[in-house]
Amino acid sequence: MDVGVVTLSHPVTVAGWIVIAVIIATATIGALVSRGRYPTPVALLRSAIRSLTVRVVLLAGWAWVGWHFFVHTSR
Amino acid sequence: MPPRLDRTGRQRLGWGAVWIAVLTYGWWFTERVPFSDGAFRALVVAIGVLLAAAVARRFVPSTRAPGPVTSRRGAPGFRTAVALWSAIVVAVVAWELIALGSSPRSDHPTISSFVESVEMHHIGRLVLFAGWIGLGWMLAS
Repeated sequence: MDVGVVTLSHPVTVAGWIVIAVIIATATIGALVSRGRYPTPVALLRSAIRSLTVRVVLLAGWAWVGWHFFVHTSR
Repeated sequence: MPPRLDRTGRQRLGWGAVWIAVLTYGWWFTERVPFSDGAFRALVVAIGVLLAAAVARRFVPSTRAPGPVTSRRGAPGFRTAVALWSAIVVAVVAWELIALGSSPRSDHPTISSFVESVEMHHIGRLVLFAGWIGLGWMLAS
C-alpha cells in the first residue's frame, strides 16, 4: 500500500484516532460487562501466547516498543 | 509477637516489594538521556531481568486458580471477539501508516506523537515504563 498518496487534514487525522480510541474503549467495556460471553483483550492475548511463536514475536515487539519509547525517543 | 503472614499475604508483600523495585529502577531509567548508550544498557538490563524472572517463575508452583471463562477459547463470543479485535488492530496499523506517510507530523499525529507528549513529564515516563513492564511480564510469564 502506498500510504504516501493518502492525504488527510489535521482534523480528520485526529478524529480518526478519537474514533479508534472510542471503539477500543467500548469493545473493552463491552467485554468486561458481558460476564464471560466475550473475552477481554487481555484474555485474547493470554490465549494467543499459548503459542510459543506468537509469544516470541510479541515479546520481540514489546522489546522494540521499549527501545522506541525509552531509548530512541525525541522527547 | 507480630502476627505471621499466610502464603497469600507473603505473596502480596513480595509483589509489593517487586513493584517498589521496578518503580525505583524506572524512575532512574526514564531519566537517562535518549539515544545514549546508558539508556540502551539500562533497557537491556530491564528486559534481561524481566525475562530471567519470568523463566525462574516457571519453576515455582503456582497457587493461582484456573482462569475465568473469558480466558478460554470456549467463551461463546470468542470468534466474534477475535474478528473484532483483529479489525481494530488493522485499523490502528492502517491509520498509523497513513499518519506516518503524511506531513507535517504536527498535523498528522502518530501513536509516537501522543506517547511523546506524555513523555515530556518524568512521571508520565514512569507510568509508561510501569505499563510496559506489566505488559512484558504478562507476555513472558
